[in-house]
Amino acid sequence: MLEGEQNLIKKAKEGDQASFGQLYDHYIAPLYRFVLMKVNDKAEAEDLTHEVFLSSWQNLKGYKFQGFPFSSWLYQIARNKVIDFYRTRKAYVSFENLDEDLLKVVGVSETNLEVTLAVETVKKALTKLTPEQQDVIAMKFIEDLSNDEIARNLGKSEGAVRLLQHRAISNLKEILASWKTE
Amino acid sequence: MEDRIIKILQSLKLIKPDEGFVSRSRNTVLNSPQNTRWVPNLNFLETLKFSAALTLASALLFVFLGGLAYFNVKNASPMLLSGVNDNDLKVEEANVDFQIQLGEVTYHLDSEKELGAQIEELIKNY
Repeated sequence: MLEGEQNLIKKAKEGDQASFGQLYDHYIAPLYRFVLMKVNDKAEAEDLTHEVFLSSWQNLKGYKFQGFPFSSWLYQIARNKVIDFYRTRKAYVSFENLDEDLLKVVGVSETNLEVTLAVETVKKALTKLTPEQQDVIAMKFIEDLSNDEIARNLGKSEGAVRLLQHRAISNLKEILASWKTE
Repeated sequence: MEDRIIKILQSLKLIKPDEGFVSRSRNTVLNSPQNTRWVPNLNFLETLKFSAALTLASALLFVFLGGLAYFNVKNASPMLLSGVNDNDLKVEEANVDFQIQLGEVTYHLDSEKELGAQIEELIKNY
């Protein structure tokens, strides 16, 4: 959670662009990764992430603090955008479409094709999980949120989060194992 | 295998959005107008929740007790007034002089008129 977040939100609600700019800078990367893990397409992830922030800025006056972090509101908007995306565009995941940015950040060279494929395969397998399992995996391992933070973001108990995480990892193992045998 | 999956997942945290995209998106977002339409302040509904729950609970309790009283569930009904003494009622009942011997009242089910006449007669005598 960003320091002085409630104050920034208050000012942003009054139309202060600089305050919302700080919120934007803080949350853009995690939200982008969160969306990217769900759609597995860089251009779509950028469009959807932009829509999330645009929507949150435009509707900020309707935001009301109810004991949950501001990020939970953003993640909720992001989830809705992703649902709309799949509902309207019937997107598909292309295994051939390797994400160049991803390869760069994990330090994968063309010579290390095995690692490249492993990363891309896990990324593709993530899209086969249920939306809730994807949320937990993205928040836990990619965003490093604690179980308590994930629980508050998703409106679930910590026990439910642990269970979802366990099932998600098991499912990932099964999916990857089944692909290996194909 | 699980460790390897987790390691790969953790490596994904290094992904960052393109700087050009961030810059463009940030400017577009911040330069767009906020919705200025009036958002109703529904805070008062929060306080109404408790009163509404209380009212509903009271109404249900009233209906429940009414049901008990209707079916004459004497022992279970807390509607019975504690001030009413059973013994006093029995004494009062014994002292009442009805002047009517119920045994004399005969119901002639085949003739409503006759029954009506008898009841009228009884009222007059009473």
